[in-house]
Amino acid sequence: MAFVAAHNILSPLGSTSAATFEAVVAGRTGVAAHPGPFSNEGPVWVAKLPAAWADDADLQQAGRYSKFEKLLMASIADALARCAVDPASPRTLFVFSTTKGNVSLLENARPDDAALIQRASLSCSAQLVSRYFGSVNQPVVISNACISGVAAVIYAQRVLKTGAYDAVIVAGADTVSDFVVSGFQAFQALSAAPCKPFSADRNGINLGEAAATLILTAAEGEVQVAGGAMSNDANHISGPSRTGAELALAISQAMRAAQVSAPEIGFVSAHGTATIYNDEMEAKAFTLTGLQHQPVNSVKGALGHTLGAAGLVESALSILSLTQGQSIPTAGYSTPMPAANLNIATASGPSSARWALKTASGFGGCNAALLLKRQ
Amino acid sequence: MKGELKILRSCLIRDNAIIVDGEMVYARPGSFADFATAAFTARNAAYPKFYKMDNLAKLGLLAAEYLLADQPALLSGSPEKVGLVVGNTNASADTDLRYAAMARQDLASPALFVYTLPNIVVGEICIRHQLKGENTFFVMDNYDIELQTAYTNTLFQNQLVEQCLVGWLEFLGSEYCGFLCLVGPSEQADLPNYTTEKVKHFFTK
Repeated sequence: MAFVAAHNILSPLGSTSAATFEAVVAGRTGVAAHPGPFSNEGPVWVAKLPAAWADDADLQQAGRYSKFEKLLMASIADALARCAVDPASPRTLFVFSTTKGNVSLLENARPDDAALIQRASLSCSAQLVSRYFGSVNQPVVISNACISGVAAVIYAQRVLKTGAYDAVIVAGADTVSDFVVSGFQAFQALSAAPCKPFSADRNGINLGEAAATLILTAAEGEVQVAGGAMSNDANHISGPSRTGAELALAISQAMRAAQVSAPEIGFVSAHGTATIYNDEMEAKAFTLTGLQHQPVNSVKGALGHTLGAAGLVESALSILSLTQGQSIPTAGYSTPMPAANLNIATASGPSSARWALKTASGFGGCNAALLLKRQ
Repeated sequence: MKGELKILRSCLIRDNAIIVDGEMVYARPGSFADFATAAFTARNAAYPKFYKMDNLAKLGLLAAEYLLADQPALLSGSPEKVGLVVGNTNASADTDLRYAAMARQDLASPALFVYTLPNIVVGEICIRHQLKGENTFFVMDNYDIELQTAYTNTLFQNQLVEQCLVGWLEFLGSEYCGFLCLVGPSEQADLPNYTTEKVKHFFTK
């Protein structure tokens, strides 16, 4: 069994879970217009952290950290301060989740600059951050596109179940880099305004940057990570399944593992990126699994799509929603998608939910589903 | 599905050679690109998507092809119950560098950008072989076979998979290594047991 001992969200809306949650339920957004990567183009709508978060100079020197690493360290430190877990114990494992880590360091790199490539690598960051907290174990890094965060929590839950560790510190982050912005621009996937998840007139994503941490323990806690599952569409590497069947598969498998049925699920924290294809696919998956009446929310309109951090940010928000009895609204939502018939959570209000489902899907056709239960 | 967990088959690709269950089955000196194209074409000419993939995806698809394509009966798990547990050290850095260079010249392309994620190779294998089960991509300092084996065993113990592809797919610059094993229950006594030692044996051939 795996329980949540502590959590943190470090986002443009706050540097703690509570602050971010309060802002989200109040309907605020961290998405704003910022200069794009190319000076000859217009602004991009992204959720960015304050400019004070930046790479140290001379990163190859000891004791110097990148923005990405500093975000992880700050998030983990806040979560650790809220529980009694010892990060230096041999019974504590670090699991990291990210899509691109320090990729901004490669933006002008020569392919033969082996030292820079090594410094920019995900495994280097994982070593630096876990050792900063005194970890004596090899850190695990999961890099599985946008499902990384949920996948990392599922991995942590499974590893705790084996008894190999007493605690797993799951931390994830991604930054809004020119590299990633230019890539999504090339896909024409970005919205030129705050995004509109699950809306008829949705037209693309906002990117966001954040870090988040969930500390899971075998010891009892208020919220249990009750089960999870992953699947693959086996259809297309950059577009989701047209039927939603494989996400439905992951959801069903997760519900079976957690021994919960659709009507018991108090709300769904969807991936809800506001692309035409993702939201349509998720709507189908929710209908296939009997969840079309349960409140569905997406916070991508408030925090942007935080990639490798998304699964952790949104799980932490879901945990607070369960423990504080307050529902999460869908910032940016306008009008219903035709033929979808979902119950999209619009305003925030009292909630008696005991179970929350978190879903995620990503490039490469991957899907993940996670069940959280308030004891 | 009955029997002990076995390594049903293994495929190692390094130094422009393809080694299946310890035996070399194909080799072609020269560039990786030429080797990969020739090796893939030698097995299957009817999958045009291969030729547009990045290096890492080509490597993974080639390993999966030589592992699975000529023995369709090997993949006996149902599609939703065949998993993939794969890792490497450099994630998608090989393509990240190429993409960054193109973006600097204002030539950013979505077709290249999509490969700047290490799990895309898993997606390509899933599409080619219609595998829909549990899949996770790990980034590690070096191939921690013990960690991978422990996690894969957990998937089998929790009945999340009936079979699983496990391995190591690494590509950066001129250095690469592709390794995949098909793992699953079998009553065939002469097949190697699925253990860290046996996986290492096939990985270091």
